[in-house]
Amino acid sequence: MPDCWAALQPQRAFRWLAAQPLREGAWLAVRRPVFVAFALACGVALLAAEPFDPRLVGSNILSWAFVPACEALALVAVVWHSRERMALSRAVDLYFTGHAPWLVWFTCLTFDWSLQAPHRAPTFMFSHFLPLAAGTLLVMAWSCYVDYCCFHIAFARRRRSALVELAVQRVTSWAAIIFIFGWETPLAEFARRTVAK
Amino acid sequence: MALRASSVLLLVAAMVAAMLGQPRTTHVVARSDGYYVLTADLHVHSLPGDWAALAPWDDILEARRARLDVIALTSHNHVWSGLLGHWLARTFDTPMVLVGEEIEGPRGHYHMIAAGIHSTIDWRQSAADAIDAIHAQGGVAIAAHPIASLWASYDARALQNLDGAEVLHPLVYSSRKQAREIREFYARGNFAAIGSSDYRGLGAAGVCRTYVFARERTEQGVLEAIRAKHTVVYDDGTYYGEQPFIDLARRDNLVSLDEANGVRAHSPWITLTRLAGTCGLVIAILGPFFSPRPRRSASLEAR
Repeated sequence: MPDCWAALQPQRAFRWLAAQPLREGAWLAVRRPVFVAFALACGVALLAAEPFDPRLVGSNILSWAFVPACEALALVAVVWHSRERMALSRAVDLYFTGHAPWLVWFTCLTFDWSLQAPHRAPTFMFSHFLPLAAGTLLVMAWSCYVDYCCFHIAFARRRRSALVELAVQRVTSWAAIIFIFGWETPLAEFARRTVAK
Repeated sequence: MALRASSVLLLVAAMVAAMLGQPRTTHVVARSDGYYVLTADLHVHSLPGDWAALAPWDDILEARRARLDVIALTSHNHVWSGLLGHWLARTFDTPMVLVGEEIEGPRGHYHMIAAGIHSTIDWRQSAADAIDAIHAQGGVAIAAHPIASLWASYDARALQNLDGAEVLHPLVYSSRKQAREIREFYARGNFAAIGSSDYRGLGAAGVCRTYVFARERTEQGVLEAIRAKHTVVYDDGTYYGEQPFIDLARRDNLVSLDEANGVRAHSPWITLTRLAGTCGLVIAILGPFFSPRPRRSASLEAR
């Protein structure tokens, strides 16, 4: 199972994956991003509804497709210059192979969250802030290392280039994701502070 | 292969079992002394742009699942998700949707629900002016989770003209201090009692709800009932609202319907299905579906 291996031993896993025979094509480009949207949708369905509702899963695949879409677009922009050495579809597939750590974290978190009594669930994040923040930071750090291994080993970038490309990809994709998820708050907060002055 | 099968099996079994375990009862709007008693959640957020997990159409369907008759879609400082939800509710047979906005104002950060409006209310104005703007559009103004840090924005004119105040909100379950503050604010004026869940797709819709005693089962009927303070909120043995309506709610045992719906607890069956779904999903995430296989030509060459 490459995703599990990449989550636990990213260097060895990406070295092995990079050595596999070249494959490319549309299916390779979309299969893992679609799976990420599916996993997010399942997590949201666990959180949002009493039963684990397939209708809600289906609907949320569409609603949450923007997350893997933003990540994939940012990745394509970053690796565009080397598309002749590695097909973009293969790059996308390799990059999404490293998503297991935070997807497992997200799924376990939503399961734990969903066990809260419904009237306590909305404030769960405030009442468990420290363990949630610590766990999220830990997973983010490990996930960064996994992605760094993907850029450095699978995409054959020098250390410095791998770090720069990963930083650009992360910042642009997550800025877009946060903007779509909650654009009102940062913009309004900025406007409020400006008006208050 | 076994992992793939077990992952698919767990996910499908969890979904099927969860759907089979759902109660098959249909929601009937209660009547009491010539009033329609409508269950309402007037503070609901939606994706995108509003720090919420569900799109407007899913909010509406979750409201139906929670046996709500009315919701207000109240995105921060804009109404477009409310307009979309309103159109969907008129087109399909769903709970009534009021176009709403949660106005997050400047200087002191008041949070105010505007329900029953049709265009965005400017947030760059005082609470009192925002209330006037809401009334000019035919809507009602409700103080949202009025904890002490938000009180300063409500001057005498704002308190005079405010139609309602949230007296029940999920914050009351996480902080005794904030629960006390929210109830102190409610006691400061003659407001309609409002219970709202500030729903963002976390937990269930309508965990905090308002019973609206409306003469008509229409948007106007709901808005007029709120203006006239014909609302009741119930929380753990305590009723909030005007006495005649509390008496009606007690007499007709309206709250027992709420408790019977199980809005405050999960059944063990639901928990089991969630556990099965989570296990199936975690196995799937670990990658049994995406193991690389050599191309056909490569494997032929190898032979």
